[in-house]
Amino acid sequence: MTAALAFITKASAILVAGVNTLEAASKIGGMIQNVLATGNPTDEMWDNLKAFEDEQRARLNAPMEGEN
Amino acid sequence: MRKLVLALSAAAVLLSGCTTVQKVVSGAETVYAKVQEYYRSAPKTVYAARGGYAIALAAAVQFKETQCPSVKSHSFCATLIPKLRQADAQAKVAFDAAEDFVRKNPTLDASALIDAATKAALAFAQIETLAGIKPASGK
Repeated sequence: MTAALAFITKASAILVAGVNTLEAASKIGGMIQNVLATGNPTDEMWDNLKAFEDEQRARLNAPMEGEN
Repeated sequence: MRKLVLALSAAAVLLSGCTTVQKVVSGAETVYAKVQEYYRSAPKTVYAARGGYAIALAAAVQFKETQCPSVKSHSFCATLIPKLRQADAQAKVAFDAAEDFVRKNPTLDASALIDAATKAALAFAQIETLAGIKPASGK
């Protein structure tokens, strides 16, 4: 992983040093590294990133207990 | 992209207790220059920026699920989580627009859309930073 990616992913992971974030940083870092190693992102790469983001978004939007 | 990197590094500084802000800013600027060098293609830039945003989003999810499982878990839950959701919705719109453009026009200039997406991601990251989102073990 490039120094730039390592810095960005590490800085992001430090925001909340939970398993979810560290796993996310590792997973996303791998995705970005694949993009660097090849040409422009393929449809599959975009779809994989979107799937991850959509999953996180669904969890953020899920109502908290006691929330309307 | 530069501001996003700076925002993320600033958040890391706050949590790490590091007082050498100047070193962090200088480091972030170096990172930004490297990112620009590596991501000369607009699709790669958008992909990397969206990937970085996904990490910040995961951090917010981690925070919500550990600190705000209930709206009454903490006094800030009722207002902070909706703010994060709103900022995320805006970031999604901006990134969707940037991604749609660069996928259809991979060789065209997408600076304006990239800037808009970066700005939206920055706004999201700032909510996390200002809220002092910390590791679950340190409240």
